[in-house]
This record gives sequence, structure tokens and C-alpha cells, in this order.
Amino acid sequence: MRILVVEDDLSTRNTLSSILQKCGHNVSAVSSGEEAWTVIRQPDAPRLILLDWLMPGLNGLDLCKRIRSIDGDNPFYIIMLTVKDNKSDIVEGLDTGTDDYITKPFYPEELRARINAGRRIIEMQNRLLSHAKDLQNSLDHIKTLQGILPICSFCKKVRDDKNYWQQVDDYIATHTNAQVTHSICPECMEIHYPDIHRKMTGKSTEKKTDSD
Amino acid sequence: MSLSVCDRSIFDPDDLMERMMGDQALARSIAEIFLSNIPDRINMLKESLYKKNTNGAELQAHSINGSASNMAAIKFQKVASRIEKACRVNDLTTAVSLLTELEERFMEVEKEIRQAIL
Repeated sequence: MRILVVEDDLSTRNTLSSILQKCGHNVSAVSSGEEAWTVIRQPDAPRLILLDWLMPGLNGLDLCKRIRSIDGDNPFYIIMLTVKDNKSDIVEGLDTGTDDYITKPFYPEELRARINAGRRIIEMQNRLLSHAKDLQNSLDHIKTLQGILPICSFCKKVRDDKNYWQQVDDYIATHTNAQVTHSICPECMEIHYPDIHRKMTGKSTEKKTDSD
Repeated sequence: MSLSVCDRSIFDPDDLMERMMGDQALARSIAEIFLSNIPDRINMLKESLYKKNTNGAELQAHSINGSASNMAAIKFQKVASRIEKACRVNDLTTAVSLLTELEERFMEVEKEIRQAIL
């Protein structure tokens, strides 16, 4: 799991980084809210953030508000890490948008368990996002086929959304997952291949004249 | 390491080792950072208090408090916490009066840490 540690105190930052690396995580550590904000705005930023509350400059709470203002379909999972431990602090932190809370001094087992809880949420989010994209793609196809299809009255070509006229079979192949196979109906067989049609049906195709 | 000689009311090496997942090298490394950084932090705290900047002093005291709790420096951490709380309510007199005790507690815990794990 890739984790961003934001902690101004060097000894605590090193402790966190070492413990998390021992647990098999890939850790990026920064010492201020401003540095963290630069990392977080990168498209490949770690999705789980361990964030110290009280820091000089941009503090953890304000950074959390900024992060929530840019959260898209795949929100960050934020664990606030601080010496503050009274109920009103915890409520304030959670109300601001943190997902979890660890008080200092932290213990590796608790840290590991909370990181794992965060990982489960992030993985579930990723799965839901992937399903949502698949569903949207399917809905886009269904919408295309449910709309009005402009079709030529004579040659039966279909006009697509880019104003190109396509054969009906090409249109279906492009806009659906259906596969098209080609065959000949009896009526067309009689028109285009009268000999074969006659053999198949045993019918005479000679035209009757008025004198008959 | 000679953990048995330690005064656990000042420094709790067992607590530290539990939080370092039993990694003695990591504990030594963190202790060295702690001992080299704290004097600067105390000076910055003093500077903020002398300038009557309680917000800055609160941040400094908070940082010392967090660092001390990470290091299991029990008595030192308690004094830092008292200074942080005093700064939060703008009680400059109490915060300044605790500076001497903070420095004394640091010297005390430094001795314990050096004896126990360095």
C-alpha cells in the first residue's frame, strides 16, 4: 500500500516511516502541509494519508479541508495522527473530513490495523469505481440503441451520430456487443438466385402470361 | 542495552521497544534524532515565549510533547504538555515558569536514554 506520511517532527516521522515499511508499505514522508499538498495534487498520489494535526503553516485540519475540496470519484483516505485526544477534538477532526483517528504515542499493532481498515475501504472504492465505469459504458450503449435511429427508407442504411450512413449490420456491430452473420431470406433468394430457389423449393419460377 | 538500570518514571524503554516493534537499531536511531533535535526545539519554544507569541509557542510545545511521547520520555513529556496547555489559554506566565523544569527534565531523560539504549 502506498502511504503519504505528513508529520513535522523528525523523530515521529522517521518512526512512522520505519514501522510502516516494516509492515510492507511503500511510504512517502513529508514534513509540512504545504509539501503534502504538492504531492496530493499529483495524479498518482498515494490514496492513504497519515496526517499530523498541529503543524506550523498549513495544519492538518486545513489540509484535510483542501483535500476534500478536490476529492473526485476516488477520495483519499485520511487518518489524523495527533496528541489531541479529547472528544471535541475527535469530533472536530471527523467533521472536517478525516476518516479515522490515531492518538500519539501510537502503537504498531493499532497503526497496522487502522491502515488495513483504510486499505479495505480504498480497495472497495476502487472496485465500485471500476464497476460504475463498466455500468456507465453499458448504459451508453443501451442509450444509443434506445434512441431514434434514422434509417434510409430505400437502402436501409442507418445514420450515426457523426452523420455517416452505415450499413445496418455495420451499425449493429459498432454499437452493440452482438455479432452479425449473413444469410439470405427466401424472398431475396427467389429474386437474386431464382435457379437455386427453384431447386430448393421445387417451384416453377416461369412467369405466367395472360394467355395461360 | 541495559534496560534494567533505567528509572521507568523518567524513561520507559519497554514501552519504546514495543512501539519500535522490538527493533533496537530503530530505537537507537530515533533516540539519537530525539536527543539532537530537542535542544533546538526548546530554544525555539523559549524564543516564542519571550516574544509573547503564544500560538508559535503552543506549536513548539506540541511538537516537543509529541516527540517526547514517541520516545516514552514520561516526565519530560508531561511538562511539555503543561506548557502547551498554558499557551493554548494564553497563560504566558505559567508557560515561562515551566521552562526551567522542562530543561531539567530533558537533561534527566537524556541521561536515562544514553544509559539504557545508546
